[in-house]
Amino acid sequence: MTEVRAAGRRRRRFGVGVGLAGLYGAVVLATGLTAGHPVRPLLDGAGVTTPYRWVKPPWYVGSANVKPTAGHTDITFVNGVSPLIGVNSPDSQVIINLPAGALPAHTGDNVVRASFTPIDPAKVGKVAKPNRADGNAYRVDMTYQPSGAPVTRIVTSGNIVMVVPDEAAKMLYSPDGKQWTELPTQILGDPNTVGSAFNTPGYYLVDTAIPAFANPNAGKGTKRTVGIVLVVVAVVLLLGYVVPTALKRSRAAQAEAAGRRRRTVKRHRR
Amino acid sequence: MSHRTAAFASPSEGALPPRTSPFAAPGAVVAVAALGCGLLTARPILVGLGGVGPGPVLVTLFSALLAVSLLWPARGGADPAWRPIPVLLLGVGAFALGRLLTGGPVAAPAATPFVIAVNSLAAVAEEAFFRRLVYGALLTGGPAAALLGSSILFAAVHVTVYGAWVLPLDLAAGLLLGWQRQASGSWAVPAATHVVANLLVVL
Repeated sequence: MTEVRAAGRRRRRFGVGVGLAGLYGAVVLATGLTAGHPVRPLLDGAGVTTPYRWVKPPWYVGSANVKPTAGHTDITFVNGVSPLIGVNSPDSQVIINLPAGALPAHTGDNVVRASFTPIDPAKVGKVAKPNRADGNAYRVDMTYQPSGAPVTRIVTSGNIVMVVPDEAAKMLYSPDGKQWTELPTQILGDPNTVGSAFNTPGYYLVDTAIPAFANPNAGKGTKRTVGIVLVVVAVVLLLGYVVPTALKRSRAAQAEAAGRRRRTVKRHRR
Repeated sequence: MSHRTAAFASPSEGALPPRTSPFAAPGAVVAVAALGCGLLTARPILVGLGGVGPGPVLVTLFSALLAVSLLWPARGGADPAWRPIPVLLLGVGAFALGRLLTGGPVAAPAATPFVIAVNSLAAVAEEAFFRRLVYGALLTGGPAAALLGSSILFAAVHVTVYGAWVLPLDLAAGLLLGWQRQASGSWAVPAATHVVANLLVVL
Protein backbone atom coordinates (compact mmCIF):
# COMPACT_ATOMS: atom_id res chain seq x y z
CA MET A 1 0.00 0.00 0.00
CA THR A 2 2.85 2.33 0.97
CA GLU A 3 4.65 1.45 -2.27
CA VAL A 4 1.55 2.28 -4.30
CA ARG A 5 1.30 5.66 -2.58
CA ALA A 6 5.00 6.32 -3.16
CA ALA A 7 4.65 5.44 -6.84
CA GLY A 8 1.67 7.79 -7.07
CA ARG A 9 3.69 10.59 -5.48
CA ARG A 10 6.56 9.99 -7.91
CA ARG A 11 4.18 10.11 -10.86
CA ARG A 12 2.60 13.32 -9.57
CA ARG A 13 6.04 14.91 -9.10
CA PHE A 14 6.99 14.04 -12.66
CA GLY A 15 3.64 15.40 -13.77
CA VAL A 16 4.57 18.70 -12.14
CA GLY A 17 7.77 18.67 -14.21
CA VAL A 18 5.86 18.01 -17.42
CA GLY A 19 3.50 20.83 -16.50
CA LEU A 20 6.40 23.22 -15.88
CA ALA A 21 7.99 22.18 -19.19
CA GLY A 22 4.67 22.97 -20.89
CA LEU A 23 4.44 26.30 -19.07
CA TYR A 24 7.95 27.14 -20.22
CA GLY A 25 7.03 26.28 -23.84
CA ALA A 26 3.93 28.48 -23.63
CA VAL A 27 5.93 31.39 -22.19
CA VAL A 28 8.59 31.02 -24.90
CA LEU A 29 5.90 31.10 -27.56
CA ALA A 30 4.12 34.08 -25.99
CA THR A 31 7.38 35.98 -25.56
CA GLY A 32 8.38 35.26 -29.15
CA LEU A 33 5.03 36.52 -30.41
CA THR A 34 5.06 39.71 -28.37
CA ALA A 35 8.76 40.63 -28.31
CA GLY A 36 8.84 41.65 -31.95
CA HIS A 37 11.92 39.56 -32.70
CA PRO A 38 13.05 35.99 -32.11
CA VAL A 39 14.10 35.22 -28.56
CA ARG A 40 16.60 32.89 -26.98
CA PRO A 41 15.29 29.86 -25.06
CA LEU A 42 17.32 30.84 -22.01
CA LEU A 43 18.92 34.24 -21.75
CA ASP A 44 22.27 33.69 -20.25
CA GLY A 45 25.98 33.32 -20.72
CA ALA A 46 28.51 35.75 -22.10
CA GLY A 47 25.94 38.45 -22.78
CA VAL A 48 23.45 38.67 -25.56
CA THR A 49 24.79 38.65 -29.04
CA THR A 50 23.33 37.61 -32.32
CA PRO A 51 24.83 35.63 -35.15
CA TYR A 52 24.71 38.92 -36.94
CA ARG A 53 27.84 40.97 -36.41
CA TRP A 54 27.05 44.59 -35.84
CA VAL A 55 29.28 47.61 -36.34
CA LYS A 56 27.08 49.32 -33.78
CA PRO A 57 24.89 46.78 -31.99
CA PRO A 58 21.34 47.67 -30.93
CA TRP A 59 20.51 47.75 -27.22
CA TYR A 60 19.18 44.18 -27.05
CA VAL A 61 22.37 42.69 -28.47
CA GLY A 62 24.51 43.69 -25.51
CA SER A 63 28.21 43.84 -24.96
CA ALA A 64 29.41 40.58 -26.45
CA ASN A 65 28.78 41.59 -30.06
CA VAL A 66 31.60 40.49 -32.33
CA LYS A 67 32.34 43.53 -34.46
CA PRO A 68 32.82 42.78 -38.12
CA THR A 69 36.13 43.72 -39.66
CA ALA A 70 37.08 44.94 -43.11
CA GLY A 71 38.77 42.48 -45.41
CA HIS A 72 39.60 41.70 -48.99
CA THR A 73 39.96 38.86 -51.44
CA ASP A 74 42.22 38.89 -54.50
CA ILE A 75 40.75 37.66 -57.76
CA THR A 76 43.50 36.49 -60.10
CA PHE A 77 42.87 36.60 -63.83
CA VAL A 78 43.41 33.35 -65.71
CA ASN A 79 44.71 33.80 -69.24
CA GLY A 80 43.63 37.43 -69.09
CA VAL A 81 40.05 36.58 -68.06
CA SER A 82 38.52 36.93 -64.60
CA PRO A 83 37.33 33.53 -63.31
CA LEU A 84 33.94 32.38 -62.08
CA ILE A 85 34.29 33.22 -58.40
CA GLY A 86 32.47 34.03 -55.18
CA VAL A 87 33.97 36.52 -52.76
CA ASN A 88 32.65 37.46 -49.35
CA SER A 89 33.18 39.83 -46.46
CA PRO A 90 35.11 38.37 -43.48
CA ASP A 91 31.84 38.08 -41.53
CA SER A 92 30.16 36.34 -44.52
CA GLN A 93 27.29 38.81 -44.32
CA VAL A 94 27.93 39.93 -47.90
CA ILE A 95 28.69 37.55 -50.73
CA ILE A 96 29.35 38.53 -54.32
CA ASN A 97 29.29 35.96 -57.10
CA LEU A 98 30.86 36.87 -60.42
CA PRO A 99 30.63 34.85 -63.62
CA ALA A 100 33.75 34.22 -65.70
CA GLY A 101 34.84 37.32 -67.56
CA ALA A 102 32.74 39.64 -65.39
CA LEU A 103 35.68 41.93 -64.69
CA PRO A 104 37.22 43.76 -67.65
CA ALA A 105 40.92 43.24 -68.20
CA HIS A 106 43.25 46.11 -67.34
CA THR A 107 46.62 46.64 -68.94
CA GLY A 108 49.53 45.74 -66.66
CA ASP A 109 47.29 44.23 -63.95
CA ASN A 110 46.30 40.61 -63.46
CA VAL A 111 44.54 40.78 -60.08
CA VAL A 112 41.40 42.53 -58.81
CA ARG A 113 41.21 43.12 -55.08
CA ALA A 114 37.63 42.98 -53.78
CA SER A 115 37.40 44.80 -50.43
CA PHE A 116 34.53 44.84 -47.97
CA THR A 117 34.14 47.49 -45.28
CA PRO A 118 31.24 47.26 -42.83
CA ILE A 119 29.82 50.64 -41.84
CA ASP A 120 27.43 51.83 -39.17
CA PRO A 121 24.30 52.75 -41.17
CA ALA A 122 23.94 55.93 -39.10
CA LYS A 123 27.10 57.18 -40.82
CA VAL A 124 25.73 56.91 -44.36
CA GLY A 125 22.63 58.36 -46.02
CA LYS A 126 19.31 57.78 -44.27
CA VAL A 127 16.89 55.15 -45.54
CA ALA A 128 13.54 56.47 -46.80
CA LYS A 129 10.92 56.38 -44.05
CA PRO A 130 9.03 54.48 -42.75
CA ASN A 131 11.71 51.84 -43.33
CA ARG A 132 14.97 51.65 -41.42
CA ALA A 133 18.40 50.16 -42.01
CA ASP A 134 18.55 46.42 -41.48
CA GLY A 135 22.02 45.71 -40.14
CA ASN A 136 25.27 47.20 -41.39
CA ALA A 137 25.93 49.06 -44.60
CA TYR A 138 28.87 47.72 -46.64
CA ARG A 139 31.24 49.50 -48.92
CA VAL A 140 32.42 47.24 -51.70
CA ASP A 141 35.59 48.37 -53.48
CA MET A 142 37.33 46.71 -56.38
CA THR A 143 40.76 47.77 -57.49
CA TYR A 144 43.21 46.39 -60.02
CA GLN A 145 46.52 45.23 -58.64
CA PRO A 146 49.27 46.26 -58.62
CA SER A 147 48.21 49.57 -60.19
CA GLY A 148 45.44 50.30 -57.68
CA ALA A 149 43.14 51.60 -60.42
CA PRO A 150 39.45 51.24 -59.49
CA VAL A 151 37.13 48.82 -61.26
CA THR A 152 34.37 51.06 -62.51
CA ARG A 153 32.19 48.64 -64.40
CA ILE A 154 31.30 44.97 -64.58
CA VAL A 155 31.09 43.39 -68.03
CA THR A 156 28.65 40.66 -67.08
CA SER A 157 26.33 41.04 -64.07
CA GLY A 158 27.05 39.02 -61.02
CA ASN A 159 24.90 38.81 -57.94
CA ILE A 160 25.19 40.10 -54.41
CA VAL A 161 23.72 38.32 -51.41
CA MET A 162 23.33 39.99 -48.03
CA VAL A 163 22.40 38.41 -44.72
CA VAL A 164 20.58 40.77 -42.36
CA PRO A 165 19.30 40.57 -38.77
CA ASP A 166 15.64 41.40 -39.42
CA GLU A 167 13.16 40.57 -42.14
CA ALA A 168 14.40 42.36 -45.25
CA ALA A 169 12.42 44.70 -47.48
CA LYS A 170 14.72 45.99 -50.25
CA MET A 171 18.39 46.02 -51.09
CA LEU A 172 19.72 49.54 -51.63
CA TYR A 173 22.68 50.82 -53.60
CA SER A 174 24.56 54.10 -53.49
CA PRO A 175 27.73 55.10 -55.34
CA ASP A 176 28.77 57.46 -52.55
CA GLY A 177 26.80 56.36 -49.47
CA LYS A 178 24.58 59.46 -49.50
CA GLN A 179 21.53 58.76 -51.65
CA TRP A 180 20.11 55.26 -51.89
CA THR A 181 18.57 53.61 -54.93
CA GLU A 182 16.32 50.57 -54.53
CA LEU A 183 17.56 47.46 -56.32
CA PRO A 184 15.31 44.67 -57.61
CA THR A 185 15.48 42.41 -54.60
CA GLN A 186 14.90 38.70 -54.18
CA ILE A 187 14.29 36.97 -50.88
CA LEU A 188 16.54 33.94 -50.84
CA GLY A 189 15.24 31.08 -48.76
CA ASP A 190 14.50 33.00 -45.59
CA PRO A 191 13.46 36.64 -45.05
CA ASN A 192 16.88 37.48 -43.66
CA THR A 193 18.82 36.63 -46.81
CA VAL A 194 18.34 38.79 -49.87
CA GLY A 195 19.96 39.00 -53.25
CA SER A 196 20.19 41.34 -56.20
CA ALA A 197 22.24 41.84 -59.35
CA PHE A 198 25.76 43.13 -58.86
CA ASN A 199 26.84 45.59 -61.53
CA THR A 200 29.17 47.97 -59.81
CA PRO A 201 31.17 48.49 -56.62
CA GLY A 202 29.81 51.02 -54.13
CA TYR A 203 27.70 51.09 -50.98
CA TYR A 204 25.12 48.40 -50.26
CA LEU A 205 22.50 48.28 -47.55
CA VAL A 206 19.25 46.43 -46.87
CA ASP A 207 16.23 48.09 -45.30
CA THR A 208 13.35 46.64 -43.34
CA ALA A 209 9.77 47.67 -42.71
CA ILE A 210 9.83 46.27 -39.20
CA PRO A 211 9.93 49.11 -36.67
CA ALA A 212 12.95 49.28 -34.40
CA PHE A 213 12.47 47.40 -31.15
CA ALA A 214 12.54 50.28 -28.69
CA ASN A 215 14.40 49.83 -25.45
CA PRO A 216 11.78 50.07 -22.72
CA ASN A 217 14.53 51.07 -20.30
CA ALA A 218 16.31 53.57 -22.49
CA GLY A 219 17.86 56.61 -20.86
CA LYS A 220 17.93 55.23 -17.38
CA GLY A 221 21.35 53.58 -17.63
CA THR A 222 23.49 53.06 -14.57
CA LYS A 223 21.03 54.60 -12.10
CA ARG A 224 18.40 52.11 -13.15
CA THR A 225 20.82 49.19 -12.90
CA VAL A 226 21.86 50.28 -9.42
CA GLY A 227 18.18 50.57 -8.49
CA ILE A 228 17.48 47.04 -9.67
CA VAL A 229 20.56 45.73 -7.85
CA LEU A 230 19.23 47.27 -4.64
CA VAL A 231 15.77 45.79 -5.21
CA VAL A 232 17.20 42.31 -5.86
CA VAL A 233 19.42 42.47 -2.77
CA ALA A 234 16.43 43.66 -0.74
CA VAL A 235 14.37 40.71 -2.02
CA VAL A 236 17.14 38.30 -1.02
CA LEU A 237 17.30 39.81 2.44
CA LEU A 238 13.53 39.69 2.67
CA LEU A 239 13.47 36.02 1.66
CA GLY A 240 16.43 35.21 3.87
CA TYR A 241 15.66 37.16 7.04
CA VAL A 242 12.17 38.57 7.23
CA VAL A 243 10.14 35.63 5.91
CA PRO A 244 11.99 32.95 7.94
CA THR A 245 11.80 35.12 11.05
CA ALA A 246 8.07 35.62 10.58
CA LEU A 247 7.60 31.89 9.95
CA LYS A 248 9.66 31.04 13.02
CA ARG A 249 7.60 33.40 15.18
CA SER A 250 4.38 32.04 13.78
CA ARG A 251 5.48 28.46 14.44
CA ALA A 252 6.62 29.36 17.94
CA ALA A 253 3.27 31.02 18.63
CA GLN A 254 1.45 27.96 17.27
CA ALA A 255 3.59 25.64 19.40
CA GLU A 256 2.95 27.78 22.45
CA ALA A 257 -0.79 27.77 21.80
CA ALA A 258 -0.74 24.00 21.33
CA GLY A 259 1.22 23.64 24.56
CA ARG A 260 -1.31 25.77 26.39
CA ARG A 261 -4.13 23.65 24.98
CA ARG A 262 -2.39 20.43 26.08
CA ARG A 263 -1.80 21.81 29.56
CA THR A 264 -5.43 22.89 29.82
CA VAL A 265 -6.67 19.46 28.71
CA LYS A 266 -4.38 17.78 31.25
CA ARG A 267 -5.66 20.04 34.03
CA HIS A 268 -9.26 19.24 33.07
CA ARG A 269 -8.51 15.50 33.07
CA ARG A 270 -7.06 15.75 36.57
CA MET B 1 16.94 15.97 15.78
CA SER B 2 13.90 17.48 14.14
CA HIS B 3 12.77 16.21 10.75
CA ARG B 4 13.81 19.49 9.13
CA THR B 5 17.34 19.31 10.53
CA ALA B 6 17.50 15.73 9.37
CA ALA B 7 16.63 16.86 5.86
CA PHE B 8 19.55 19.29 5.91
CA ALA B 9 21.89 16.58 7.04
CA SER B 10 21.50 14.84 3.71
CA PRO B 11 24.07 12.10 3.21
CA SER B 12 24.24 12.94 -0.49
CA GLU B 13 25.30 16.54 -0.09
CA GLY B 14 26.86 16.78 3.35
CA ALA B 15 25.73 17.50 6.85
CA LEU B 16 25.10 20.77 8.61
CA PRO B 17 28.34 22.49 9.52
CA PRO B 18 29.27 22.60 13.19
CA ARG B 19 28.06 25.59 15.18
CA THR B 20 31.58 27.01 15.32
CA SER B 21 31.94 27.17 11.51
CA PRO B 22 31.71 30.63 10.00
CA PHE B 23 29.27 29.06 7.50
CA ALA B 24 26.88 28.47 10.37
CA ALA B 25 26.86 32.12 11.39
CA PRO B 26 23.29 33.37 11.34
CA GLY B 27 22.56 35.14 8.12
CA ALA B 28 25.91 34.31 6.50
CA VAL B 29 24.27 32.44 3.64
CA VAL B 30 21.79 35.28 3.20
CA ALA B 31 24.64 37.77 2.96
CA VAL B 32 26.44 35.59 0.41
CA ALA B 33 23.23 35.11 -1.59
CA ALA B 34 22.58 38.86 -1.54
CA LEU B 35 26.14 39.59 -2.65
CA GLY B 36 25.95 37.00 -5.45
CA CYS B 37 22.60 38.31 -6.69
CA GLY B 38 23.88 41.87 -6.46
CA LEU B 39 26.97 41.09 -8.55
CA LEU B 40 24.98 39.15 -11.16
CA THR B 41 22.48 41.98 -11.42
CA ALA B 42 25.28 44.54 -11.73
CA ARG B 43 26.83 42.72 -14.74
CA PRO B 44 26.22 45.61 -17.18
CA ILE B 45 28.20 47.90 -14.89
CA LEU B 46 30.90 45.36 -14.06
CA VAL B 47 31.73 44.50 -17.69
CA GLY B 48 32.49 48.16 -18.31
CA LEU B 49 35.00 48.38 -15.47
CA GLY B 50 38.76 48.19 -15.92
CA GLY B 51 38.65 48.53 -19.68
CA VAL B 52 39.47 44.84 -20.14
CA GLY B 53 36.30 43.91 -21.99
CA PRO B 54 33.48 41.63 -20.91
CA GLY B 55 35.36 38.32 -21.25
CA PRO B 56 37.76 38.54 -18.27
CA VAL B 57 35.12 40.19 -16.08
CA LEU B 58 32.54 37.48 -16.76
CA VAL B 59 35.05 34.66 -16.34
CA THR B 60 36.15 36.11 -12.98
CA LEU B 61 32.57 36.69 -11.83
CA PHE B 62 31.30 33.23 -12.75
CA SER B 63 34.42 31.48 -11.43
CA ALA B 64 34.05 33.24 -8.08
CA LEU B 65 30.33 32.46 -7.98
CA LEU B 66 31.01 28.79 -8.71
CA ALA B 67 33.78 28.55 -6.11
CA VAL B 68 31.72 30.15 -3.35
CA SER B 69 28.65 28.07 -4.20
CA LEU B 70 30.62 24.82 -4.16
CA LEU B 71 32.59 25.63 -1.03
CA TRP B 72 29.44 26.49 0.87
CA PRO B 73 27.98 23.51 2.70
CA ALA B 74 25.07 22.16 0.69
CA ARG B 75 21.66 21.66 2.21
CA GLY B 76 18.84 19.45 1.10
CA GLY B 77 19.12 16.85 -1.61
CA ALA B 78 17.69 13.85 0.14
CA ASP B 79 14.71 11.89 -1.15
CA PRO B 80 15.13 12.23 -4.91
CA ALA B 81 11.90 11.11 -6.50
CA TRP B 82 13.40 10.32 -9.89
CA ARG B 83 16.66 9.14 -11.37
CA PRO B 84 18.61 11.95 -13.05
CA ILE B 85 18.26 10.77 -16.66
CA PRO B 86 14.47 11.18 -17.17
CA VAL B 87 14.57 14.51 -15.31
CA LEU B 88 17.48 15.66 -17.47
CA LEU B 89 15.73 14.53 -20.66
CA LEU B 90 12.54 16.37 -19.79
CA GLY B 91 14.45 19.60 -19.17
CA VAL B 92 16.63 19.31 -22.25
CA GLY B 93 13.57 18.42 -24.33
CA ALA B 94 11.76 21.53 -23.11
CA PHE B 95 14.70 23.80 -23.95
CA ALA B 96 15.17 22.15 -27.34
CA LEU B 97 11.48 22.73 -28.03
CA GLY B 98 11.94 26.34 -26.90
CA ARG B 99 14.77 26.74 -29.39
CA LEU B 100 12.58 25.35 -32.17
CA LEU B 101 9.68 27.60 -31.20
CA THR B 102 11.79 30.75 -31.02
CA GLY B 103 13.78 29.99 -34.18
CA GLY B 104 15.11 32.93 -36.09
CA PRO B 105 18.62 34.11 -36.72
CA VAL B 106 19.14 36.20 -33.59
CA ALA B 107 20.75 35.52 -30.29
CA ALA B 108 23.77 33.40 -30.87
CA PRO B 109 27.31 34.54 -30.42
CA ALA B 110 29.78 33.05 -32.87
CA ALA B 111 30.50 29.58 -31.51
CA THR B 112 34.16 30.11 -30.72
CA PRO B 113 35.74 27.83 -28.09
CA PHE B 114 35.89 30.83 -25.74
CA VAL B 115 32.19 31.64 -26.12
CA ILE B 116 31.25 27.99 -25.59
CA ALA B 117 33.50 27.82 -22.52
CA VAL B 118 32.11 31.02 -20.98
CA ASN B 119 28.52 30.02 -21.69
CA SER B 120 29.09 26.64 -20.05
CA LEU B 121 30.89 28.20 -17.09
CA ALA B 122 28.03 30.69 -16.67
CA ALA B 123 25.48 27.88 -16.75
CA VAL B 124 27.27 25.73 -14.19
CA ALA B 125 28.06 28.69 -11.91
CA GLU B 126 24.50 30.00 -11.96
CA GLU B 127 23.08 26.57 -11.23
CA ALA B 128 25.56 26.02 -8.38
CA PHE B 129 24.50 29.38 -6.99
CA PHE B 130 20.73 29.27 -7.50
CA ARG B 131 19.97 25.56 -7.32
CA ARG B 132 22.57 24.65 -4.66
CA LEU B 133 23.27 27.60 -2.42
CA VAL B 134 20.11 29.70 -2.71
CA TYR B 135 17.74 26.73 -3.04
CA GLY B 136 19.37 25.06 -0.05
CA ALA B 137 19.11 28.21 2.03
CA LEU B 138 15.44 28.70 1.14
CA LEU B 139 14.57 25.11 2.06
CA THR B 140 14.02 26.37 5.61
CA GLY B 141 10.70 27.69 4.26
CA GLY B 142 9.88 24.38 2.55
CA PRO B 143 10.42 22.97 -0.96
CA ALA B 144 7.83 25.24 -2.58
CA ALA B 145 9.47 28.36 -1.14
CA ALA B 146 12.88 27.12 -2.29
CA LEU B 147 11.60 26.45 -5.80
CA LEU B 148 9.73 29.72 -6.15
CA GLY B 149 12.29 31.89 -4.35
CA SER B 150 15.29 30.63 -6.33
CA SER B 151 13.34 30.99 -9.60
CA ILE B 152 12.30 34.57 -8.84
CA LEU B 153 15.86 35.56 -8.00
CA PHE B 154 17.18 33.73 -11.07
CA ALA B 155 14.80 35.73 -13.28
CA ALA B 156 15.43 39.00 -11.45
CA VAL B 157 19.21 39.02 -11.90
CA HIS B 158 18.80 38.83 -15.68
CA VAL B 159 16.63 41.94 -15.97
CA THR B 160 19.52 44.42 -16.08
CA VAL B 161 21.24 42.41 -18.79
CA TYR B 162 18.32 41.68 -21.09
CA GLY B 163 15.44 43.96 -20.05
CA ALA B 164 12.23 43.40 -18.14
CA TRP B 165 10.63 41.44 -21.00
CA VAL B 166 12.75 38.37 -20.11
CA LEU B 167 11.19 38.07 -16.65
CA PRO B 168 8.41 35.62 -17.59
CA LEU B 169 10.75 33.57 -19.78
CA ASP B 170 13.49 33.26 -17.19
CA LEU B 171 10.98 32.71 -14.39
CA ALA B 172 9.52 29.77 -16.33
CA ALA B 173 13.03 28.49 -17.07
CA GLY B 174 13.98 28.89 -13.40
CA LEU B 175 10.91 26.94 -12.28
CA LEU B 176 11.77 24.11 -14.66
CA LEU B 177 15.41 24.02 -13.54
CA GLY B 178 14.32 24.24 -9.89
CA TRP B 179 11.94 21.34 -10.39
CA GLN B 180 14.83 19.33 -11.84
CA ARG B 181 16.81 20.08 -8.68
CA GLN B 182 13.87 19.00 -6.55
CA ALA B 183 12.99 15.86 -8.48
CA SER B 184 16.55 14.58 -8.92
CA GLY B 185 17.89 15.75 -5.57
CA SER B 186 20.97 17.18 -7.25
CA TRP B 187 21.96 20.55 -8.71
CA ALA B 188 24.07 18.74 -11.33
CA VAL B 189 20.97 17.87 -13.40
CA PRO B 190 19.79 21.49 -13.89
CA ALA B 191 23.44 22.46 -14.46
CA ALA B 192 23.74 19.96 -17.31
CA THR B 193 20.39 21.12 -18.72
CA HIS B 194 21.46 24.76 -18.51
CA VAL B 195 24.72 23.99 -20.34
CA VAL B 196 22.79 22.26 -23.12
CA ALA B 197 20.30 25.14 -23.28
CA ASN B 198 23.15 27.61 -23.74
CA LEU B 199 24.79 25.41 -26.36
CA LEU B 200 21.50 25.18 -28.25
CA VAL B 201 21.74 28.95 -28.69
CA VAL B 202 25.35 29.24 -29.81
CA LEU B 203 25.74 26.10 -31.91
